[in-house]
Amino acid sequence: MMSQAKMLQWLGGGLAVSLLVLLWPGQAPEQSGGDVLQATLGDYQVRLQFVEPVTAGDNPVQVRVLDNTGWPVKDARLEIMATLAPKPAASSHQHHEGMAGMEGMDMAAMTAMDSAAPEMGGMHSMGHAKVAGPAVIVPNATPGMAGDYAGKVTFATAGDWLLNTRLTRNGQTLNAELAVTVANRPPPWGIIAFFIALNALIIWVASVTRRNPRFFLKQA
Amino acid sequence: MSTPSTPVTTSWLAGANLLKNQWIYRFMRSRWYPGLIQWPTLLFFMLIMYQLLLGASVTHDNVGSALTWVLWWPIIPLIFLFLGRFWCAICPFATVNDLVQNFVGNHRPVPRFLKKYGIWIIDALFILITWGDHVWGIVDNPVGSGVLLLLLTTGVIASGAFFERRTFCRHLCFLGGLAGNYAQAGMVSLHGTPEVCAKCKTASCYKGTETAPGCPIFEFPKTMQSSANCVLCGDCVKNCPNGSIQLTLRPPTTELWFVHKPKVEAAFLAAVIMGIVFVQNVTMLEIWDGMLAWLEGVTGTTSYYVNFTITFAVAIILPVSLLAWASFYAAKHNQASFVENFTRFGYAIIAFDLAAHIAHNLFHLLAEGKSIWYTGLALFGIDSHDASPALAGMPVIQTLQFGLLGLGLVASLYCVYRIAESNHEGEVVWSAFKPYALMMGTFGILNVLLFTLPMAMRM
Repeated sequence: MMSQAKMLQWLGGGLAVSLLVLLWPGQAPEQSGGDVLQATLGDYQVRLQFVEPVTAGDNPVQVRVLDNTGWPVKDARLEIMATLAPKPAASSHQHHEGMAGMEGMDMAAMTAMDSAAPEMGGMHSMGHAKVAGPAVIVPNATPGMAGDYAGKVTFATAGDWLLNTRLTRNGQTLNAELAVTVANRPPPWGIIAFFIALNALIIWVASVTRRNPRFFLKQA
Repeated sequence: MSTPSTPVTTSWLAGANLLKNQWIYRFMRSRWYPGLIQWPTLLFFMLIMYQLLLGASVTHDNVGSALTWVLWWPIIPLIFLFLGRFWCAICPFATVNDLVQNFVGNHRPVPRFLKKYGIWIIDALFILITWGDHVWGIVDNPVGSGVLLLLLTTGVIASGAFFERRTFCRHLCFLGGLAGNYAQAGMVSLHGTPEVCAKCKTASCYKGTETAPGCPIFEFPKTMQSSANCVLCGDCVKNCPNGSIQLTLRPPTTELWFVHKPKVEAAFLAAVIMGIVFVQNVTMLEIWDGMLAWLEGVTGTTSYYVNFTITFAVAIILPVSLLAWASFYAAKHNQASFVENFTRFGYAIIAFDLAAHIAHNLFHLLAEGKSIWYTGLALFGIDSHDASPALAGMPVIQTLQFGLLGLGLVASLYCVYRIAESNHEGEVVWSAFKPYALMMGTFGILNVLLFTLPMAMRM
């Protein structure tokens, strides 16, 4: 007959294991994909597909460019510059507001891009938001992805943003502006719960083996 | 608490033994030490974890990121220099280890493979975490930093739950490995008084008493000849019935001149750290994008994993290869084997490692220091529009950086000389010195070149 204490131990352990299995990152439901934005730049159709719903922080994006015959264009140069949509809203650290750029883009590069910003003719008024530099979207060699180009766009904060998309091909440069709403990044509850469950499991096993060092040997 | 028989004087810094000062001695023996610093540190750590995981999602706005990467990480090598491994005594991970151990600890002996290969595991973890930082963006992403801390916490909890004392800190902690190396260049040393310890039969410092547990890092002050594994927790000071323990000040790097039992893995880690300083600097420079583009052309792939891994491997292999070359060359002249030279002289790199590490992080501390304040204010809804995060201008920072590099280079060269002198005689001293001096000179030139170029900020 199992004692009450042992039964409680098994219940606690079972709960921890169940939590661990349920919260294992691989068990999480798959994302249904992110925002899709489309624009026409002269003879070209540009389709931006964010890998996940757009949130503050880094956002991987896949881009497909089609010519007027619907044929994929793979030799264009693409740049995306993100700016906060001009409205009377402010957040802390304005000197970095509107930050957008490739992953790992450093401050020195951003400063250089700031000085180059006036070259981006025809851009929307940026209000008080500063431009930190374009994300250069590079040709994407990953098969099976949603586009022929890939990159990352960083949004410093949640809110309404404008993506100035610049396409350069055969000496011709075209611009289009796309609006996107950026949500706050949700807290990583799954990760936190996983670690809590894992540590609870470790502590539970230790508490069992502390009372009875040969516990698992006996069970076997 | 038993009163030791050794008389205690009240004069400040009487002799070289700091424990002869009554205030320091009493504080280290009191039950408030190191808890008085340890518990607030744990509380602070919990707040940082909370901010990293649940605070602002962008590094620039996250106070947890600012406190971790702009304040703590730059200050930590300075702590190692001035106070040895004291950080390890108040480290929140150590506190968590002790807490878990008190409640559910199994106190099993340290597995043999950890004792034998622990430092190699630390070396591997250090390389892996630095690599992971770049490819997964640990520093660049508050959640990434939070997950790293959660992983470490899990390791500490597992270790504390099953194994005795602070097994994780001694045999697995990557920062502990770094601390062990740097502490040998540090300015404080704790050890027993040989004449007193020779008569001791109790070994209370190692075994522990009712007053305090035995050494958490498995050291025995009676025979301890290195500061690499002393965390200055004060347990041995509390436990010793004979007042044998001394806490002495010493000129920085002194211990590196006469390492009694040099270990090849520690020498290897010293060279690896130099490589990591290189790669940390290179990837924060404006030229990095150009280098990456060139590498993409060579490898034919835009995969950052591939191209950064190649850069990382080259940066790590370079100093290790230079140390190997110098050791091979020296072995032709000094009658010592290649491995003996690699091991002995590898320790000399630690001084320059420490200087380059401090110099690199000085930039982040001084150029971004105010971001700690701004991100803290943002928690209360206070904006800091257009405010510069710099505590000092670039001319000041660069002057300090080059000054530190110069000091580190001189210290490392002097270490090489002293190591050569303590192991050889006559002409052989210079024959052994020359290749290592050339190696240090190369490290110096590379570092000066890298520090001349504009660097990126963390926040």
